[in-house]
Amino acid sequence: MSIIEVRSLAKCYGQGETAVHALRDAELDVQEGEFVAVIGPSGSGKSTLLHLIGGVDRPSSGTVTVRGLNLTGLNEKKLSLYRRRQVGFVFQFYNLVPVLTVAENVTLPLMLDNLKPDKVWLDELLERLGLADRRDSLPNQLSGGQQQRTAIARALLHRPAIVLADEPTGNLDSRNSREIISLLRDAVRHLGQTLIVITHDPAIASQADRVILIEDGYLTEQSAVRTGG
Amino acid sequence: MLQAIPNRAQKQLILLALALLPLLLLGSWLAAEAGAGRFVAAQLDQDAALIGILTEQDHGGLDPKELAAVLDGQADRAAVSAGKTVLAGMGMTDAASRSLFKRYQPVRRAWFWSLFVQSLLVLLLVFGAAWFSLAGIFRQIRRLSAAASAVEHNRPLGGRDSDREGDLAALWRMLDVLAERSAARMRDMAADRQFLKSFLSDVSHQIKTPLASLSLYHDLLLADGEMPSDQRRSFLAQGMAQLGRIDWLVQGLLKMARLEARAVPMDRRKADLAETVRAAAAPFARQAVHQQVELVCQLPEPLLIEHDPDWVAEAFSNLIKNALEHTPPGGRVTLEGEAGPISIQIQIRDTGSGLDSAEIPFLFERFYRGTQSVKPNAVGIGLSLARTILERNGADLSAAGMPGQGAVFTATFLRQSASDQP
Repeated sequence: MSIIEVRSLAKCYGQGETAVHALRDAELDVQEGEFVAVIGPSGSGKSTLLHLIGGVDRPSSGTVTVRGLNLTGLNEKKLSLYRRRQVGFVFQFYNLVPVLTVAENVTLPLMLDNLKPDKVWLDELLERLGLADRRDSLPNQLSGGQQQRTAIARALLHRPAIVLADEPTGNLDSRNSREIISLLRDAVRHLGQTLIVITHDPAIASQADRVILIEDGYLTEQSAVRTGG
Repeated sequence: MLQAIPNRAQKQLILLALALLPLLLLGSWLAAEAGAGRFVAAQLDQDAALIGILTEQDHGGLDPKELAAVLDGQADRAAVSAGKTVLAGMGMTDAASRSLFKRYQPVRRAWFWSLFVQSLLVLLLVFGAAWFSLAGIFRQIRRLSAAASAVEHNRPLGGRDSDREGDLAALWRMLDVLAERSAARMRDMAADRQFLKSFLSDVSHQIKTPLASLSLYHDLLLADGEMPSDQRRSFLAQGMAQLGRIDWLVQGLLKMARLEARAVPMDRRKADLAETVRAAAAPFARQAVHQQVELVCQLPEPLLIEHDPDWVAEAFSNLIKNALEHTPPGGRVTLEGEAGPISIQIQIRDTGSGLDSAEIPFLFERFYRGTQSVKPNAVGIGLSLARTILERNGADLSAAGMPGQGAVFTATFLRQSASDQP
């Protein structure tokens, strides 16, 4: 059962001669519970793919279907509901609110949605991400790894079906990077969530179940060169 | 009409309301009869008292005080019975006069209707409230059964009231858990099937090649009886090498198949990971000396974490074996451990040919052989096995390195792993 189905997806910015084809004719199936790494040089269309799957951006043509829900057919209100309920985002630059504590940052999206956060789950999440004794700290009192872990807790609190991470380790050293990916992977495996991580770091990609390569907007299912014999 | 209503509770509610209707009628009638009867009786008493007073006081005129008492309902008993005697003399007993009393009928009717209408209103209100709350519950139940059937057909659950409380919310939560379980089971089954499919094709492909060479050597040996002994020896040696390769393949594949099928339980317990790594490295000491490679263990601190020491040692020995294979004489293989609050990371670092960034993502795929593979007979199973074992122990394996700068393999053990895999 594919949780994400991408069919002849294309995104083009601008028109005519100045048009930039960020993504061309992409086809992709992601299984539920899978950890997919998307690699490729900067500006190759990785983030565009992630934004289209996350419902942040609309495609020029083609479709994205998540759990049987065709995103291209949704109006702005439903698309925003999809983003808030089904998707968890993790960004390179954490995007934490500087004046709010760790716990407040984590629960902020639910509060904005007028939902009550699940206390038990929040405590478990903070504990597991090593933030239990940091819940009342402000972001600028945290290390980079801790800030990113806070962002991960925020992305996971509403138990989204898919977690999308755009260069989540771009600002971290390799030790913290591995830790972040391990934590992300452990958490999504626990809840059976699907994880898509954009990275330029082959070491991160080596931790994934599957690797997809994007170059010049063309998506290729990268598979090992199998040398038989 | 009742057939159209599917739920027994709702049918019973309608029947109860219908049964209550005659009861209401009867009750209102009886109450009206009794109430109006008492009112009229009081009225008759008053009339009788008036008649009594009037007949008694023919000669002396009316005493206003006495009259006021009668109108106030405080008639003298004697006056009442006197009046009744007079009336009886006229043939008007209590019963007869009541039925004749013209005021009686409308009073009774008014009492009856007001009682009946009031109680009917109350009945309708109670009925409506009960009906709507039942309908709400049944609507929830219908949504629950739709959701349950969605679970059965592996579709996502839709439209739940997760923030509600009470019995139905508990049912919703249970259904959620069931759905998650069922989905996880389906995923596992699909993954198993996929694994079996690719595994079978890999196995046949991998074993075919050494088998083909083996039978070629045998054919040659059989065909040429006069073959010089050193040539024969060379063919036999090559045959031995192929046999060794098949042996390693079969053992590795069996291990992998058993691991993937979860036929081997992981005995995860709090143990010293540094000790496990040292135990894995020990058997390679002689090989390292033989290869003139320095094998260094830098694990001074005990690293307590949950893992299965036997299997994890097997994973590390695969990684050490791989590192030694890729390190030229004079090089060095270093085993390091680093403990942090979140994770413990073990690194296996070599000074070999390094890794090409394009191949790193695929190093752990089964039967993947790097472009730098030095041993022509190597089968890409060790790294894949190591990763499978480590994953079963809640750890991740990653690779890093650049061409010519050696390779680093890192196993990351989370101190608190949520996905405990038995």
